[in-house]
Amino acid sequence: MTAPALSAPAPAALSHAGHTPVLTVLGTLRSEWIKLWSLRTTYWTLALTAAAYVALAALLALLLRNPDFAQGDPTLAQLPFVAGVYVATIPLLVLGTLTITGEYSTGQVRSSLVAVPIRLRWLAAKLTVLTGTAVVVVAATVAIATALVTLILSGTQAKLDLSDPETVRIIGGGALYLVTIMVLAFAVGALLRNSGAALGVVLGFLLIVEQIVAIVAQFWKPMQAINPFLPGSAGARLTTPQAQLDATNAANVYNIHLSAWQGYGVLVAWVVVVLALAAVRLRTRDA
Amino acid sequence: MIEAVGLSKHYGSKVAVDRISFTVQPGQVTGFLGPNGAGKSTTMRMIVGLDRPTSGTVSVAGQPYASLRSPMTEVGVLLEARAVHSGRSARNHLRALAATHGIGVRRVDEVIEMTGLTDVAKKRVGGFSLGMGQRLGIAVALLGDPHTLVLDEPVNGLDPEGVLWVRTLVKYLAGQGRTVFLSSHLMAEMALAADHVIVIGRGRIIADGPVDDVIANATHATVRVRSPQADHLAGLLRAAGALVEAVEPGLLQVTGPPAAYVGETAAANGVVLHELSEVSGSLEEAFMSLTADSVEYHSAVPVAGAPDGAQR
Repeated sequence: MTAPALSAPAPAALSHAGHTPVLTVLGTLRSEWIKLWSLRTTYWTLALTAAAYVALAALLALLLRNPDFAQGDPTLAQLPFVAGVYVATIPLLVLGTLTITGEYSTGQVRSSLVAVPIRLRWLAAKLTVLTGTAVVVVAATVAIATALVTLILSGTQAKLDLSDPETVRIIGGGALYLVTIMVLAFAVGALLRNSGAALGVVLGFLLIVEQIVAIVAQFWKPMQAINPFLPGSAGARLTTPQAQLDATNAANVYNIHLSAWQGYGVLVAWVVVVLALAAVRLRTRDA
Repeated sequence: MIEAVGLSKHYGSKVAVDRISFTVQPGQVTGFLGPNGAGKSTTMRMIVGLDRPTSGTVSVAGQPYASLRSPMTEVGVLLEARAVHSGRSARNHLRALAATHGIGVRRVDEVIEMTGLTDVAKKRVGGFSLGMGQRLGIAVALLGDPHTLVLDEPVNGLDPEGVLWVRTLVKYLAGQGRTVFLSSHLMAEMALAADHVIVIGRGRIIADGPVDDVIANATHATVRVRSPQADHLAGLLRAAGALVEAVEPGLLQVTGPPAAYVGETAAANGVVLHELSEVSGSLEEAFMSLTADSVEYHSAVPVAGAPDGAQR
C-alpha cells in the first residue's frame, strides 16, 4: 500500500458550527452506537440469532402439524420457542463477549478511554447500546417466529394459544432470557478483558459445564445443591414449561424449589455480581 | 501546559517512573528522550489517565485529565502502540471518537485529508501499514483541534516525507501557542523538531532544558587541526593543558581550548595549519553520554560509529 501525500500542515480551525465540543453522555452513547454498527461481528451474530431462532421454531411447528405428535396437549405449541431460545443463545453470547473484549484485544480501549476518561460512563454507554440493540432484535425475532408458528399451527390440534399466561411467559420470558444471558457474557468479557478466555468461559460454562453438572446431579446428589443456582439453567427456567419445572423441583433432594421468575432472579444476580466486579476492575486497573 | 509533580509508577517491584517532576510549557515543542524502557510511554499514559500513578500527580491545564470537561479539545493524544479496532474502517474509528464530544463529520473528513488518509479512509484498519496506522493516530490526536498534544513516537514508521510533515506540523502548532510534548528515540529528528528537551533514563529525569543547552552541557566541543607539524603543535597544546588526540598522522583532535586559541598558538610558534575547525556535539552524543548509565538493554554490538578496532 503506497502512502498518499500528506497535505499542508495548517490544521483548519475546528468546525464548531455554533457550539463548543464537549464530552457528553449522549455523545458517548452515539459513539458506542457507531462502534457497534461499524463491525461485521454485529451483523452476522444478530442475523444468525434471528435466523436460527425463526428457522428452528418454524421447523418444530411444521413437525407439530403431524397429528401423531399433537395429541391435543396445549403445551406442545410452546416447544418451538423453547428450541428457538436454545440455538439463538450461542451467537448472542458471542456478540455480548466480543463487543467488550474486542476493545481490549485490539488496543481500541486506550483510544476509547482517552476520549471518555470517565470509565464507568464509557462501560455503561457500551452496555446500554448493546442491550438496547439486542432487545429490539430479539423482540422482532420472537414476534416474527410467533406469527409464523401461529400460521403453521392454525387449524391443527397443537394450536398456539396466546391467551394462555404460561405460553406468554415462555415466549416473552425466552426473549428476556436471551438478552440477559448476553449481558452476562458482556460482563464476563469486561471482567476478563480477553476474547479467547472470555469466549471459552462463557460458552464452555453455559453450554458444556452446566450440562455436565445437570447430568452428574442425577447420580451424585450433593451436586443438586449447586445445580439450580448456575446462571444458565436458572435463567432458562423462565422459558421452561411449568410441568417440566415442577418435575425438576420435585426431583431436588434438597427441596430447592425455584419458580420460573425465581430462576431468572438467580441469573440477574449473577449478572449484577459479575458486572460489579468488572466495574471495580475497570476503575482500579490500568487500561 | 502539562505539570508533573513527584510522579511515580511501580509495576510490582519494578520502578518504571521514579518521582519525576517536570513542566511542559506552551508555545514550544518539548521533546521527551530516553532509551527503551526508560519510562517515556508510561509517563505519557499517566498524563492522559490510562495508567494510575503509584504516587505523585500530573495535570493538564491545571486539572487531572479525567476531570477535563472536554478532554479531546484540551489534549490530542497519540499513543505508542496501535489503539484501534482492526475490524473498523479509519473513518468510522474517527467518527466514533468524534461523536463522544459532538465533533461533526466535517472535522473528521478534514483530519482525514490533512493526514493523507483519504484513499484508505473506508478500508479496515487491520490492513494498514505501520505508517498508515501512525497517520490515523495523528488524525485522532488532531480531531479536537486541541490546546495540548501528547505524541508518543509520532514519526515511528513514517516515510521521510511524513517525518518532515510531522516536524512542520508540531512546530506550526507550537507557534500558535499550543503545548506540544513528543517522545522519540530518533535523536537527529528530535534535534530538528524540539526547542526544549527532557531526557529520562531508568525512570528518572537526567536533563531538562533548551536543546542547545542540553547538548552543550553533555558534550564537549572539539577542534580539528590538520598540520604538517602536528607533533610539535600537539606538544605545545598539551603544555597549555589541552587534551590532544592524534586521530591520524597530521590530524589532531583537541578538547578544551577554542579554535581561536589553537590557531593563535600555532601562529605564535610558526606552525603551518592546513585545517582548523570547531566540531560541536550532537544531541545524539549528549543523549549517549547522559544515558550511558541508564540504558536498560545494552546491545552486544559496538555503538554505531565506533571504530572496528573495538573487536580486539
